[in-house]
Amino acid sequence: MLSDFGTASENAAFNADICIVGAGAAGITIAKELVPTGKQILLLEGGDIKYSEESQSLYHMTRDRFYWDPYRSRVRFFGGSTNHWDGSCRTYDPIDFETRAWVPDSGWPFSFRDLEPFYDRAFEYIEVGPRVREERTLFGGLRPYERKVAAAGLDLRLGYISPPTRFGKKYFDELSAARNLTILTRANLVSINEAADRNGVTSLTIAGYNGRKATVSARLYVIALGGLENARALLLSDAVTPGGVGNENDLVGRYFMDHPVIEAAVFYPSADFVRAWDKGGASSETNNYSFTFQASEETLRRNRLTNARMPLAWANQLYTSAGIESAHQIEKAVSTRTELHEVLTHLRNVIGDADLIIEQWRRKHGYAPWFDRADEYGGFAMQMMMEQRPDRENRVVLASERDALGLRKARIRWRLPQSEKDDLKRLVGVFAKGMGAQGVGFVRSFLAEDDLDRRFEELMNFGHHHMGTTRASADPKKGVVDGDQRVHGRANLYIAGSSVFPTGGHVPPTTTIVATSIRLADHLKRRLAA
Amino acid sequence: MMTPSRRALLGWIGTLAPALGAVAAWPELGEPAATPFEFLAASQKAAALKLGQWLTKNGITADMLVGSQEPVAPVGDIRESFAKDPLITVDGFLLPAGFCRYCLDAYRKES
Repeated sequence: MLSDFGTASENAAFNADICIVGAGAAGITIAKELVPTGKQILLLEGGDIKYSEESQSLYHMTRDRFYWDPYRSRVRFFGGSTNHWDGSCRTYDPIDFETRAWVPDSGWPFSFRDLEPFYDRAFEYIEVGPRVREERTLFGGLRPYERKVAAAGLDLRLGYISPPTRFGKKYFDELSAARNLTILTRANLVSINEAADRNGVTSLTIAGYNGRKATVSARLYVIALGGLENARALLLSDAVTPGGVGNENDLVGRYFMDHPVIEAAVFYPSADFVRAWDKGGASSETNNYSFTFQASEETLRRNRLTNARMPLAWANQLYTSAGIESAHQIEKAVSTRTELHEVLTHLRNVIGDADLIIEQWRRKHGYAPWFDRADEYGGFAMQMMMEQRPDRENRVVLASERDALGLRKARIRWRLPQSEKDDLKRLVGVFAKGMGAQGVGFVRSFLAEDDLDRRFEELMNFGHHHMGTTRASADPKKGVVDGDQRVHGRANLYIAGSSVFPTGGHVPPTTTIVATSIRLADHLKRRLAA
Repeated sequence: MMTPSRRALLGWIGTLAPALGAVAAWPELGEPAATPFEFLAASQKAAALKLGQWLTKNGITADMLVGSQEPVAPVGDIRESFAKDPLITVDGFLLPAGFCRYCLDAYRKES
């Protein structure tokens, strides 16, 4: 059943066996899993079934200079951010779940093997067909390179491409038709109300856009608002526990992670490899796949590195031109009045690629192509998606500014320490050394020796994958939730989504969000049946 | 009477004119910067000479090619050098130090 809190009667009561707050990938997955139990389910969504500015504007947050405003990177209506994701999917790797001595605060309370059966089920949700156990069977033209890639200390991996599944659109009919489920839209969570003994949650307070409030009661509660809002919801609910629900050990909001994305290098492979790559575009009858490189587990352990996804994207001369890159740097130095290093090299590059610079300007302004050289093959762009190490100082806190509902906005504090920039640079070196030794190709890195900070500032983007702010650990002193995603010390409060990830891996998290949500749903089924 | 903005514009043109002349006379105008990897398509000796020249042009000297605190030994096989030598960065290109040393030596002897 679909209901709109904005038009519900004044004295409407909201009771259920389980209340799920947030209808994104995690919330919808859990709701869908629980429908067959026959238990009464209430699924709250702050937005509407379709986009509305009044809802989306609640995602404005304050943040550090580098970081993006979630207003632009997340979506606040039924289906959540699956309404605009690009469909890139893959499982995390077994090593991602391990406690790695060289990655402080790493280690999940369950292993890859524990999660594997749920990954299989997650693949159905995201419509990428059955998970391929032997990825090499789909390497096609690249199979002859398998041994060389392994000898280079790298793995060639398959990525799955979801349609992409828009969870709201895909699953709305099924959920709204379920007799035991109510989708309550335009119902914004205001506070999680704890029992005085902090043992559990007694109710939730929700608010509409007209200022009207109501109370929701259930046996079990699941907060599934996304990697930023999950932490904010706990922090805002501080009537009983100072600092917010579950924050006895000052962990809520901390260890915030994203996937920094860096245009780190250009790869110039041999002509044979280019042909093989062109022929290697794997697909089956029902699916499309992409290929990426990454460091092998052995390489990560030996070099004490975190991983990065290294896709190769065919790039034309406009992308790989040293002259265009130099022109950008000159332009930036002039506009920001900062010092420009290696001026002569930049000038030489600009002059050598003057035709490409003109061509890029012409195309940007809608003129017909002049110089054919611009469309020639220029190499493979390596846009690397990094795993970010858990960092206690990266965090979501409450700002003094308030949103339209009168609630304190979130403030995002984010940094990328020098050591992680060095790690990525080392990883590019591992790739270059390995591929060079195998005669596969050569690398030009954009992460030059003496100006790593500046290069990151210029080249860095984000996956907009918000993770880690209510991290899971069996130890209450190290995690907000336990291995079942239950808030430590609270009998009936669970957190779903990427905020529970203790480490973020180096691939997009949606597959793992769905897998952990199915795992959580199985646990909730047992609780509801008890 | 000239407005201040028109005077500023003419001033800019006056400043840029000699620079544009210098750019037009630049011998490398329109020649894209060759990557060191393109040199490797040539025969080994020719490749070593070209790469040696390119490294010299980029300010690389043999003294700068240091392995684990010792000068790196020249290695003629680039793949072998990639496998065992540290990498150096020249204009962003990641190259094995031993092979670069070999190319610099070859270029120095030739010139």
